[in-house]
Amino acid sequence: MTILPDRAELLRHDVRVWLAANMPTNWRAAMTGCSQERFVAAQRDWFSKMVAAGYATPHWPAGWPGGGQGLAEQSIIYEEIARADAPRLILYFVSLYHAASTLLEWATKEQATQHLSGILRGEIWCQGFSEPGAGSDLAAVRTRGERRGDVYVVTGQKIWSTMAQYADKCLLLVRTSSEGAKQAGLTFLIMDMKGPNVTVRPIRQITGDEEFAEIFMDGVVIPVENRLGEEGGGWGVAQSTLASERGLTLMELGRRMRGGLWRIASEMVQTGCTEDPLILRELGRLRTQIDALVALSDGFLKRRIAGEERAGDASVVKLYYARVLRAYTSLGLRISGLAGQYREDFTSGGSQETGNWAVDFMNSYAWSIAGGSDEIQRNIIAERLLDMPREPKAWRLAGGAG
Amino acid sequence: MSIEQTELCEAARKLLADIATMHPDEAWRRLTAAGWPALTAPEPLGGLAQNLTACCWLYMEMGRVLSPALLPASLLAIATLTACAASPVRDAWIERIAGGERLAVSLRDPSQDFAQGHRLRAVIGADCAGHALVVIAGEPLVAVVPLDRDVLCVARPTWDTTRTLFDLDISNAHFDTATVIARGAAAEAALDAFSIHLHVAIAADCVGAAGKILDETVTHLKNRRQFDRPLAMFQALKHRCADLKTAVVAAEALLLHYVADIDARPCAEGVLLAKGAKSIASSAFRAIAEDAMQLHGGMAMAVEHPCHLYLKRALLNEQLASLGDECDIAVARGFISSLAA
Repeated sequence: MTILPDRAELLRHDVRVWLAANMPTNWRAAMTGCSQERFVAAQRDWFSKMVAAGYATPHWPAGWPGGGQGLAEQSIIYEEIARADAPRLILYFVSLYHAASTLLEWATKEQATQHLSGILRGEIWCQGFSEPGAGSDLAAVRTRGERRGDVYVVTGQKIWSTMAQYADKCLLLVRTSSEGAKQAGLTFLIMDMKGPNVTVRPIRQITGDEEFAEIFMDGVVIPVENRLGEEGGGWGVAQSTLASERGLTLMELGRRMRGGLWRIASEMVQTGCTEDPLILRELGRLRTQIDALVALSDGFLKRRIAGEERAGDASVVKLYYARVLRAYTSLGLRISGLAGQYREDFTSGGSQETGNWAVDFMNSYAWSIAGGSDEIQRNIIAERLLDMPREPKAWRLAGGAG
Repeated sequence: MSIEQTELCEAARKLLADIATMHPDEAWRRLTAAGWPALTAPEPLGGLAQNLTACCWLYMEMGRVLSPALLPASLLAIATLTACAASPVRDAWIERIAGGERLAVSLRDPSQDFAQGHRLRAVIGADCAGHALVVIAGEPLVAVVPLDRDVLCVARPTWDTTRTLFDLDISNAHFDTATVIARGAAAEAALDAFSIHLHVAIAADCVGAAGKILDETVTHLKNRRQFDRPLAMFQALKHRCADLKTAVVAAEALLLHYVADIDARPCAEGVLLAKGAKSIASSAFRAIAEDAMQLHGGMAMAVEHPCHLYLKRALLNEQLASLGDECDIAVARGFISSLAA
C-alpha cells in the first residue's frame, strides 16, 4: 500500500492547490444560521466541483472520477480536505458511501451504471431502514412491499432518514414476507422519492436543525428492476450498507476530527486554561485517541481492500469513533464554560466538530445511536469477534403473561 | 498481519514456551542463540539491523506470556548506544550486548528519577550483569559503568513477581573516558532513542499481555455456567468484553502505526508518539486486567490462578517508562506548541 514519496507529494500538492483555488471562501460564516435552502444550494455547488475534480469519490473503483485510489492516496486526499477545512458533503453522505457501496456490491451492471452516474450528476440519496417499531431491532421492519406482477406496492413509515426531504432516491428495506425468520422476509428496493404517494416530514431536532426526516409511503409503486439482490435477500444487502457506514466513512471523519483539534486548543487559549493539568491531560489523551481511530480505520480499509475484512471489524471502528467523538465534544463544551451554554446558531456542513460545542456535543449522539447504536456494535463485537453466544430468542414476561 | 510478522511471532511464541521453565541463564543462552539481543544492532557490529516494529512484535509476544526475559534491557542499551556517535568504546559495547552480554538498565524515563539524587530506579538485570547503562536527562549523559563496589545495588521485591527490580545508587560511580559514551548535545539523540524504545517496549508488553488475559477471560465466561447458561450469554458481560476488545485493538493499531512512523522517519516527535502509545496501551492493559479479576470471580483471588499475575504486571507497567497522565500532558504540550509553530 505504499506509494512512492514523490508521487504522494505530487498528489498532496495537487489537492492542496485545487482546494485553495476552488473552496468557497468564508463558507463557515455563510453557513452559520443560514436557511436550509441556502445550505442545500451551497452543498450542490461544492459537490459538483468536488466530483469534477475527482475528490468526492476516491473510494469508488477505478473507472469512476478519481476512483480506484489506494489507502495511501485516499489518506492524502482526506487529510488535505481536513487541513483546508473544506465543507463536508453531508448532503451527499448517503449517496457517496451507503448507496455507492451497496450498489457496487449488489447492483446489476445496468443498475450500477445508471445509479452511480445519477449520484455523480448530483442525485441525493437517503436511507429508509429504521421505523418507529424497528430501531436497534432492524429486522423487525414492518413496511410492507406487496408483489403485484412487475412491481412492488409499498406501504409503511420510515424514520431518522438523513436529508430525506431533499432526496431523489431512497435505499429502502421492506417486508415482502412474514414467513420464517424475521430477516428472511426482507427485500431491498430503490425508491424514487419524487414519485407519487411519498410524503416526507422533517423532524425538528434538539439543536434546532432539521437533518432527519420521516418518510410515509402509501401505496408507492416500485418496479421490480429497482430491487437489489433477491426477494427475501434484503437483510444481506442491508449489511453492506451498514458496514460502509460503520467502517468506510470513518476514514474521512477521523481525519476531520484530527484536523479540527486545534479548535479545542484555541478554546483553551481563549478561556486561559492552557496550563490546567487536568485539561492538558484530556487534550493529550484525545490527541492520541484520534490517531488510534485513524490507525483503526486505515487498518479496516487495508483489510477491506485485501478482501480480509472480518464481521465485526467495522463495529470496532464505529464504536471507537462514537466514544472518542463524545469525549472530544465533551471536552470542548467543558472548556467553553458558561459561555458554551449560551445559545448560538449552528454551522451547517461543518462536520462533527464545528466549535459550537453544545451543538457538537448534542450531535455526537447521532453517532452513538445511528447506524447501529453503540450497544448493537458491542453485541456484534462480542458475538462475531469474540464468539460469545447469543441470548436465547424465546422470551416471555415473568408469569407467562407475554 | 504480514507474513514476516506471522513467522517471527510464531517462532517467538515457540521459543518463549520452550524457555518458560528454564533457569534464567539457560533461557538467556537460548534467546542469544536465536539472535534476540542482536535484533537491532547494525550489521557490521554483529547485529541483524531490524527496526523498532520487529522489536514490538517480540515484546508483544513476551507480554502475552509475562516473560521475565531481559531482552528490553539489551535492546534499550543498543538503541541508546546506536544513537551516540561511533567510537571504539561504543562499538565494543554494541558488539558485546548483541553477542549476549547482559546489562543492567532502568525501565524508567530518565527525566523521572534522576533529579531526586543519583539513583536509578526500576533497574532490571542488576543480578546478572557486570555493567549498567546510565542515561541521565539533565546533563545529559550516556555511560556504561561497572557494577563494582562504587555502585550500591539494592533489590526491590515487587508485587509483580514476573520481574525483578533493583535500585542503583551511582553517586560514587566514575564518569570518565572509560565509561562515558556521549555527553552534552551529543547525548540528546541517544536520550530520545532511549525514551522512544522504553515507552514502546512497555506499550507493546501491555498490548500483548492485555490481549492474552482478555482471551483467557472470554474463554472462562464461555465455559463457566451459572443460572443454567454460560456467563458469556449475559449481555452485561458481553458489552464489557466488547469494550475491552475495542480498547486493546485500538491500542495495538495505534502502537504499530506510531512505530511504523518512527521507523520511517526518526525524529524528536518520536518521543511523543511513543509516550502516547504507552499511555493508551497501559491504561487498556490495566482496565482489562482489572475486569479480568472481576469476571473470573473468586478464583481470581487464588494465587494458583494466573489472573493476578496480569493485574500486578499491569500495575507495575503503569509506573514504568512514564505515567500515562504525564505522557498525555506531554503530548498535549507538544500539540499546542506545534500549533504555535
